[in-house]
Amino acid sequence: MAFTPFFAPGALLGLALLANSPVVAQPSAAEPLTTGEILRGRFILERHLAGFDKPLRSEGIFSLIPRHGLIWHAQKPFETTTVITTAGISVRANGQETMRLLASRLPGIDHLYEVLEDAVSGNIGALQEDFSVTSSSDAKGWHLVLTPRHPNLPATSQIGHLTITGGRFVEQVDIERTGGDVDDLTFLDQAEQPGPPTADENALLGAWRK
Amino acid sequence: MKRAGAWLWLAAVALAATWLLMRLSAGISLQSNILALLPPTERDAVAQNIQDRIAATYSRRVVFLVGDYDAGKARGAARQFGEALVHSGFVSAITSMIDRDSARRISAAYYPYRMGLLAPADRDRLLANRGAALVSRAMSILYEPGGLADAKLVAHDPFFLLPAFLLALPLPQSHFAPDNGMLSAREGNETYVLVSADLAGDPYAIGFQTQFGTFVSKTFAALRAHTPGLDVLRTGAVFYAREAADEAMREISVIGVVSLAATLALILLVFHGLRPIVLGFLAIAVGVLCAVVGTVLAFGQIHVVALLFGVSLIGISVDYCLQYFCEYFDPAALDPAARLRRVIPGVALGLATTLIGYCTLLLAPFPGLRQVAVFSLVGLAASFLTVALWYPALDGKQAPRSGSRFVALAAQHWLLWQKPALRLARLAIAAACVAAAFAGLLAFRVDDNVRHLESLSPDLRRQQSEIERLTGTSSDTQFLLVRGKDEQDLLHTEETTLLRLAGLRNRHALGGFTATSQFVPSIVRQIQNRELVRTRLLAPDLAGYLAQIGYRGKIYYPAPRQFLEPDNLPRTGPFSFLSILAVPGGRNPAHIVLLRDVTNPVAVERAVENIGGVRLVSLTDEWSKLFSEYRGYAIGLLAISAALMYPILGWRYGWRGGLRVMAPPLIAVALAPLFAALVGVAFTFFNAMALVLVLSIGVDYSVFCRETYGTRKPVTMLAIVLAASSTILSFGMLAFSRVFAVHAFGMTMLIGIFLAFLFAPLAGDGEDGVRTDVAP
Repeated sequence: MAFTPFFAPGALLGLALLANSPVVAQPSAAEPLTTGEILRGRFILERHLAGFDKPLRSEGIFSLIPRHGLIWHAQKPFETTTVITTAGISVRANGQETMRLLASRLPGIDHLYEVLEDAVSGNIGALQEDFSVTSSSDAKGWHLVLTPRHPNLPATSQIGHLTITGGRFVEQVDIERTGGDVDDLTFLDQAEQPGPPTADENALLGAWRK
Repeated sequence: MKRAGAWLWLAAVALAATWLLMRLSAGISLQSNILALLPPTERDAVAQNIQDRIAATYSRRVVFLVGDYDAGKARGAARQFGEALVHSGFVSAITSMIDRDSARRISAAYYPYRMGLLAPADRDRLLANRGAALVSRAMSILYEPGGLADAKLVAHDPFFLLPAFLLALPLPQSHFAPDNGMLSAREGNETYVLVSADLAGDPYAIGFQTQFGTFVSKTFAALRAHTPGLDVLRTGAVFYAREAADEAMREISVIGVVSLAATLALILLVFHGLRPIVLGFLAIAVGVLCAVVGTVLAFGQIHVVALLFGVSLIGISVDYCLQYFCEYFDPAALDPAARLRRVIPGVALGLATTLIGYCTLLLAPFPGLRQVAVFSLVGLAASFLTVALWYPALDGKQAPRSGSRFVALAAQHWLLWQKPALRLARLAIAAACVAAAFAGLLAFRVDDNVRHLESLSPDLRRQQSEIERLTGTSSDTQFLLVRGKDEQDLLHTEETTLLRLAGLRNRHALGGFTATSQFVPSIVRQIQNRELVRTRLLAPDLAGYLAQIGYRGKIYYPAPRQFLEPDNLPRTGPFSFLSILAVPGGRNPAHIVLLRDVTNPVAVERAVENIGGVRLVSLTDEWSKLFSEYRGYAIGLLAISAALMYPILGWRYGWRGGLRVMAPPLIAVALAPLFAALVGVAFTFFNAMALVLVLSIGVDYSVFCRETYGTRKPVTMLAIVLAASSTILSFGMLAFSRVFAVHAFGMTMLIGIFLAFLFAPLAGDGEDGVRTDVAP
């Protein structure tokens, strides 16, 4: 039976690319976030899953706080907040934690955050350990196609390939999974803002700091 | 007649030597497990069996952490090391290997029964009628980027309850996560990769320890040559045992050599000749040879502790030789036969009482101590036979140069107790003893903690605590023993128990627990769960949920006729430890529930006490309890051996005379533990056993003092001085041992023997007129 109900955290690796790194995007013109700078913006996620009569579409806002974590706050169709750090992933809905995945229990999550950090800090070498990268650019911007180097590794086994396009920031990420499902992510209204994180952001990250 | 006896004895010794040589070439197994000294005393046979199994399982496990700043190098080295382990044949299984298929096999095993499997938190939500929380969780997972959920998963597990169940499983090694097929964890900048294995051999067999230890050092040395920064942590009973055995061996050589050298020097100094050394050595060598043969014949192996005490036997068997040699200085004893005739009554009586002392050791149901007893009994008897049968033939007529200086010196000890002018000194000694005894009484404490018997090596301790910190595991040996009619009954009892344990965990009485029923709920529980899912989740929420997410496919979420049972689960990879939890047994199946970080054992005990078939077992506490029981037992042995000696002494000296002979060693036995307390030595089982020896050796001194008369007194005293000195030299050395038990034993011997010697002249006939000027 091929069915594997274990979470495939490697698939979440796609999420790392939401880190929206200008560095990955333009290795030649690295423009890393400096410590204390926070990247905020809006996102639209459309999941095209076989067997569903319409894409699962959600929208919301996100904040990337380097060295601390990524806060993914969906507002439509309902409010959920996902916080990703090296310690794990927590999902909150209606003010309550509905899921908490400890990095210690879920292989690869800390790795996921590291990749995210690497991307932010301009360490493309780390990404190239897991993916082969082909890049191209045109007048509108640039494109990257990432293909897992080791399709059998649990960390990346569910990813067929990733396509990233952008200009100053990452604007579009398409995650094509081995099963044929596709997640399309669009980023809007992005801006780097000086820190510190807001009280709310701190509170969400703080749940992981002990 | 005498000649025939000597020849017969020679034949017997030659036979023993030949046999030992043959055995040695076949390899004698040397045991070093200190707990092998302990008896199997658990009254509850099933519990004992389980404890043995768990102890054996734990003791065979070895854990390594291979660390490097470069994760790839750490993984590479760990992989190479793992492969070398497999090829070496030293291990029966590598338990840290991630079988890429194991996750799939595990989910495949659970998958058909998924409807009845609920994570504890999910079950609580349904019980509280809060199914809506599960619906919104499912929605958020679906809308989440990252791709856990797809149509296939929705169809087969619409609310993703099986992944939640799997994530909630209390799998061990929680800080380590699979990474490229190996379990690893990051600590700062360093990556540690776990390599754990089960040994194929006995970790307490010294041969195996040595081979395995050499293999490990060599392999890592080779890996370091390639990866210089490699950081290796290791733990396992085999390393502790090897360290302890090495330490014991080092001490045996040091103590053995020093005590032998000091004893020889003493003899040389007093007798000015090699003959007593050669003859003394002969008696000792024959004694040790026969002791080893007797012990191996009786037990099939020798315990390191038995050997350690056996080496100290030198200090005692030489006593008999000394009695004989000191007769050189008595001009009335003209030839070897005359000398022997004079000392035989005292030596035989001394031997009889000493043997009684060792016989009581034999009564103790401690396998290790029985070895000590057999070793000593056989060794002493053989030494005695050597003195009695061979000395007349081997010793020459001519006595060596006189040691009158020493005889005169020894005579002073008589005077201390007999000279009227020294009354004040005697009173002062008595007063000092009483005062010190009172002070010792205040400092006196008993200590039965078995942990003191274990590790010596701070370095191994450090590595172990480092491994425990990094892996998040602990070496706790506390667990619940659950017994029931059958497997389902057991699982059901466990579930009742776990409910209470969860309450205790919330109150921080314990850190966590691992039980079979967490992996395989009872059938009763599975029926309940299915019912909960059906009535509180599927019936009210499924249709609306599917409409909202726009899923129009089929749902296949069945409740099959069968239920998940323990045998359905694989026992490999991450689930290999499940086999530890189940204790197979015909009519009495049992499970254990492993407890972690128990801070309040009393609360745990109270929580489970009225659940039938469940009880708390703590291995270290049980062992400590045993030591306390056997400390009391040793005191009993002391009383028994005193009671057994008294009739022999009473028969020879009359009832009052017997008491008088017993008094000096009894005073020594009473005072030694108090004096030891003054220097900070707690009273343990080992001190109590030392007292048994103090009594039997001390009685020898008293007997020698009582047997001697008139002009022979100073000569006898010289022999006693030499005997006590050599005993103190050998056992006194034990007081410097770093092995807790040996140190406690040695300290008690040191003090006790000195006191027995000090008071021994009190047993004499009391007649004055000691000559101090023995003519050559």
